[in-house]
Amino acid sequence: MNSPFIEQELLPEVMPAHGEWAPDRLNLLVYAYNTHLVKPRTCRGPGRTARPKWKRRIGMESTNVEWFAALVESMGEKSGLDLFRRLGDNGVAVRTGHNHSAVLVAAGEIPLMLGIYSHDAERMKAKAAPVSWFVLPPAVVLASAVAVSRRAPTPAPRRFSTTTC
Amino acid sequence: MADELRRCVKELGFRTSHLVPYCGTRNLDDPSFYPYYQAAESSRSAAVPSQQQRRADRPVRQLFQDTRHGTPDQLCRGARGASARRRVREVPRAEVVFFECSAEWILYWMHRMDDDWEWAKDFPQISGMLRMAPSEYIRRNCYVTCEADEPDLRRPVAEIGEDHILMASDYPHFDSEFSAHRFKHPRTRGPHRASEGQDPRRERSAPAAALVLSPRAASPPRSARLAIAPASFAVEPTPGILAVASYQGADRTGRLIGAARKEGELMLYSSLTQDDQLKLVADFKRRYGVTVKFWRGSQAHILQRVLSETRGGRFEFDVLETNAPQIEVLARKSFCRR
Repeated sequence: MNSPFIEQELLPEVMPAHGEWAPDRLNLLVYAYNTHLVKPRTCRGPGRTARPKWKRRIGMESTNVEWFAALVESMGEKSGLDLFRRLGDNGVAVRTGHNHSAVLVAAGEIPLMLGIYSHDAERMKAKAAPVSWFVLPPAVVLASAVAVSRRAPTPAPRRFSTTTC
Repeated sequence: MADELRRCVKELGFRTSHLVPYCGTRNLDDPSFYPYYQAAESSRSAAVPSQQQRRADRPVRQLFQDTRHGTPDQLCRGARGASARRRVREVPRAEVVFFECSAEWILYWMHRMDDDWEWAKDFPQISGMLRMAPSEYIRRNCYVTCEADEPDLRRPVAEIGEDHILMASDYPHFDSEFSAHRFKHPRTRGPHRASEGQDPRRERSAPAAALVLSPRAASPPRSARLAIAPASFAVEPTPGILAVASYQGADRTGRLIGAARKEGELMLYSSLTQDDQLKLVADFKRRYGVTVKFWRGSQAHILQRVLSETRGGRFEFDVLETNAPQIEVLARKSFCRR
């Protein structure tokens, strides 16, 4: 990725050394909740989400492997995996798609969803949906990246798009 | 069907067609398929049936078992059709690849049909006017794919010939492994080998590895290459890409805008929501006069699509935008350009 905009607009320190893609956005994974069904501050730590009071009230997004790995790594493998097993025993609604999951929170189907993108929750909030979000340590950020093909059918536009967007 | 095959071969460069006839009671030797086989023969493309042919009278639960376990009984009907009916006389140069079902099953049918051929050859109304033993037709017209971990490939190699056995790669399939891993750690199946006092791993891996390394097997019939497209291959940038990427002059941005307008459009695979993509497309068009075509998919679907397309030699996308870990996978496969 060869562009002056990486220095100006993006974060050069998160560029991979090989330079074959560039992170264009950093997505914060948060805990989104339905404001009609959950009071803020009732969930004070990831470990507490496995308590009986959250039985069948929690959801997770099925493709959040990075979030899962970061959480387990921060807690230690044994206790991290133990937490997710206890969560599973407690009844977790697993859904696929972050935006879709955020909609389910707004609809009240899932009171508290773990691992939603903050911008999805914010988009719902902007539409006056009963959704809000918070972050519990460790905060997990997942980069979105942009890359160009080695065999692009239209070389100039694709190079141009990634140097000027 | 036949016209479409001709078009695919002539206009789109297809080498092989995949025949999955979900066709009720029709088997592969049904006359309605003959024009298709003739088109395959005349256009030098191979027909590749898989094991998922269905029969209308088969209960649903058995259909599931057939698909799940890849049993060859469905393919056997195809083998009978390929060898024991008049089709092979009408299209003597047709090449048929039976795949996704290992290489051993066809031996049984070759032996079985040859047994019947011994007495039936004198009765044309039964033998269908075959001029050779059914196994000869199979050796001449048919190919089978093998797995890297088949318990015994020596017999298929001896009876069908190593240049009629192709390596099948189904990667990335949910239950597949890298073939290199398989050669190193082949599954131990068939305890009879151990009881014979042989090293089952060495015995099994040797013929499979020999097939891959054999010059003849490495150059299968031209028409069958698509069926064994490798999992990955070196992706060299085209000269156009190199020229654009390496130019460093002060007027680089201006030249890029000019060339981009000339080429007119851009293909983007992205995980952005549709609303966001539509805004991006409109803004890009307004600023630079370039139309952005986009395909929206999850990070997993984008990874899957790019891998599948590039395995088939198709490079449709100009730009990718999705989660970094999936892009990194593609960068490690040399699909992305600095």
